[in-house]
Amino acid sequence: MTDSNLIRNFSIIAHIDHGKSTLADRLLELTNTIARRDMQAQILDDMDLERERGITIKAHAVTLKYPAMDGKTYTLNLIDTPGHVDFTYEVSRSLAACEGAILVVDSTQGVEAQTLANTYLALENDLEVFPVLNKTDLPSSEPERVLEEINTVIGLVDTAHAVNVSAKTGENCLQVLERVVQCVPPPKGDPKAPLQALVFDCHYDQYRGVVCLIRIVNGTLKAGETMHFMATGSDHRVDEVGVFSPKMTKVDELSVGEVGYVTGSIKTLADVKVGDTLTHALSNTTRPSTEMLRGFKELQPVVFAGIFPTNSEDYENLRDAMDKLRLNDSSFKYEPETSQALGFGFRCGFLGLLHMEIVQERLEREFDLDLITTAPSVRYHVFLTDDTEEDVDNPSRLPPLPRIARIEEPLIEATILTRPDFVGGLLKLCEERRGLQQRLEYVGKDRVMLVYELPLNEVVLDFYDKLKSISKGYASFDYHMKGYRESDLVKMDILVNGEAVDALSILVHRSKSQSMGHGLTVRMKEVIPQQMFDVAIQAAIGSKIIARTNVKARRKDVLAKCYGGDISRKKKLLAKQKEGKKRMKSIGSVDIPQEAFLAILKVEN
Amino acid sequence: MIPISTSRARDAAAREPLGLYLHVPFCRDRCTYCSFVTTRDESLKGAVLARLRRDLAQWGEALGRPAIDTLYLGGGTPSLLTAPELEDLTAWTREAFDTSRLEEATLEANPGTLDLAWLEAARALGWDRVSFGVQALDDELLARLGRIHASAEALDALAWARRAGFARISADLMVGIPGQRLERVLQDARTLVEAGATHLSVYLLDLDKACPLRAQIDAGRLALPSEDEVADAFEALQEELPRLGLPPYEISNYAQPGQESRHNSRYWERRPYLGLGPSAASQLGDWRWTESGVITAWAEDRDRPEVQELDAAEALSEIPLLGLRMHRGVDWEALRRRGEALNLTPLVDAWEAQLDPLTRRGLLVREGSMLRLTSHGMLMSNGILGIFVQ
Repeated sequence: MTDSNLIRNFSIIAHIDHGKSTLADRLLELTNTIARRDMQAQILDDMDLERERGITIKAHAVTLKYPAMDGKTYTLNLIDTPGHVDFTYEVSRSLAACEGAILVVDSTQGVEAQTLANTYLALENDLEVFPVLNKTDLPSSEPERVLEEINTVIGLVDTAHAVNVSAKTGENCLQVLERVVQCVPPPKGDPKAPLQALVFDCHYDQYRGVVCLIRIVNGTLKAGETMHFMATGSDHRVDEVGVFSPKMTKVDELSVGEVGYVTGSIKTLADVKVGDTLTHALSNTTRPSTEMLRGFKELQPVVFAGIFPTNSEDYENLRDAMDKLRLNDSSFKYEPETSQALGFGFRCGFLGLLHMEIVQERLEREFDLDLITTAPSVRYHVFLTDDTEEDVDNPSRLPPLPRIARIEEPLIEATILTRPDFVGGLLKLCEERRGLQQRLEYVGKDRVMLVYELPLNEVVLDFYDKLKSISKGYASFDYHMKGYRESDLVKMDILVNGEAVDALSILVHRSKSQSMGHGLTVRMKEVIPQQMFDVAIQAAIGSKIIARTNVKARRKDVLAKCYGGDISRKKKLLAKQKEGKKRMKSIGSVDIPQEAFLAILKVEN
Repeated sequence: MIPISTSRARDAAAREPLGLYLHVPFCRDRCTYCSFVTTRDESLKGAVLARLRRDLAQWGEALGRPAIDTLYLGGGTPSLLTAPELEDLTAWTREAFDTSRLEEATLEANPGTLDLAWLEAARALGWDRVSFGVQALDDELLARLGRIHASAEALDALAWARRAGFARISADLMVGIPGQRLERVLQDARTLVEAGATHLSVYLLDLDKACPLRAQIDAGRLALPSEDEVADAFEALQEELPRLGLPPYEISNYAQPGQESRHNSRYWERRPYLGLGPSAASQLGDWRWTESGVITAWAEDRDRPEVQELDAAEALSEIPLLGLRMHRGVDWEALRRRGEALNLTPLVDAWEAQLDPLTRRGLLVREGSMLRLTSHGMLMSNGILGIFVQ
């Protein structure tokens, strides 16, 4: 057991590309946790997708041994967290496992919305936060200006202990470790008290079953004991406890303040919930805690979409792929759905748009599937005339109009940080998206913070890409859910050659239905290739057609060439042409490409 | 040398007369749009003719001197053969194959490579049908295509062919040449019919492979006519040529009644044919193969063809795949019965499910038991015929 006074648990908060993973790599090197020859960039992000996108999707933990200036060797547990808004809950649980956090800010840039949101999250969890200003090797580095910005924007952070570093060259990185020892308080807790351990993440391992990442708050945990998950109520015998150094390394026990893992032949991730409290089952030697740790939540998806195989024969493969994916991502929810247009598929729930993209990409990439994803939707509260309420996350499942008394839609509070020259454009964007301004503040010479209340259904439709293009990339965005509000929403159907395509229905605000209908039919016309016959595309509300476009038939698609008796060559040409169509979904003999189902995302508001 | 089982090939050849195609892979110059197997190197002539002679003899022997009812000399430019070379080739063919039931013997010819004497010689050897690569009667367009002849030579060639005694004269006409206008296409078609063409093959310029014309277009120096212009021209010909007495009988082919190409028709009717020469394709029984397209490799027999054996489903699917190219269409009831006999009814059902909406939209039409493409269906045939490709 490590003396808890020699333990420091900390996390790193940073915006994408501000250097979190590079700094983590340096800290691992400096403490010889990883030999230089085994070092590869972004070592904690082991998923291909994480490395490619430069993001962290899953939380990781690693234990560093650091001989400090005071002559003592400290155990530093670095908990690496995802930073994106979609994973706010996971981030909050990882932060809850720490006593301190390093706020890494790119000294050539400044504070971003994501950093801000996560710093607030850290402060809410009573963490000590000190800034590290990164990239000081670059000529455009302005650590003083950025530090001042941190002061203005956040205020509560201990800027007096800021460290200027270059994670790339390693300059001053040792100073960061020293500062962790000095600034981050040691964990408190009672090793003799009943066990309370925070499950801050978990993943599925083919050989060990579910691996839970835990932080012991009180008590101790050993192999052979029976553990009890308080929220799920399940019991499992402990196979192994250990720490990440950085590979999984078995230890005899985990005690107060320590961070590590526990396995217990837990077969599915569904048995473990992030944020749950782990304690002992009642036995001769152990007794359970009566109290759960604070902050546990059941995760609810906020963005929904249908995922269908392009080729209906792939349905079972898609189901298998989803089952497998879910082993490693319990926040991804899905249930079978049947669409008239798209056949058998799944209605899926995601934590946000990034989560949705990641799931889709992993399904296509890791399982080699061609998929049609429908436009993202949100969950509406629909109040019916018989005083009942239904939650609807699929526009095509909206009850008939006469039965609807009113509809409420989810709202978010969005924070945007940008440069003054982009404020005009961003205000316009927020207004178009039915936003209500809450705050507009200059938080530094060149930095403006906008806070808007926005309907989530406006945000899921390409808001983020628009924001980036208006601000040329100089705006960051973060949000949190802010309840529901009644709204005048109508269901807009899209008809292809007179037949409503259920998978294309959307809910829109009445005031925008005309322009959305027009924009959507125009966009559909652009993405649906010319076919053998004219294709009429109509937008309708109820039985009223509000917009219409027409994809003219192709005039000529013929092999009129002298190939003589070389039938094979002729067939090869036809087969090649047919191959191009395979990625499209045939609806009423009209071939519709994937882009058409997401056309709404590209409609100018 | 014979790539298939001789006894089974002999059985297949005994069932009905074959078609024989001979490929002459020489051209004076390569046209700017061409992706066929041809060369300017006439020094290879000896080797090519020698191999053709050998192949003719071997096949004739292997199949037991089978009957052929159509003969087609294509290329390349068969009219680059001298009269004595043509005489040899004709003689070798007659030695190896039974030509007593020959119904048609076609020569392809380039108007820029021949004279009256050559045509008279060919006619005297028994060739009774000539197909001229005219393409257009506009000298500027011909130059653009890299044709070695001028329009006046084409008209001379037609006149000589008639004088030499050819009653069956075909001309190729191309639609979709950069700079070509609709009125001009119609005018050229009329002129060719007046000049004695009893058969027209209307091809669309299709630059599916790298060629000089493609490069010029990609570089922006020339522009292809729009899809609409090409479709307009194709449709206008479908109206105009019947008025001139040449109704269409296949997507690309028009003929006076009785003047249809019997050799080409056998491709669409899936009747057997043997193709000799580089890149020549053969179909005998359920086997199909294509000779090497590398002329020297073929001549030296260094690149043996891969033989494909069609299974029942593939053979069945080729009946509509090829048959629907013809204006009379496909006897769908007969096809269905054949499918039943082969236990392939689900396949026929699946085709029908895909064809029905297209019939409703006017791309196909059903008359009695016959299913055929409409005029619009012909122009859009790739998407329809693709149904029969796996």
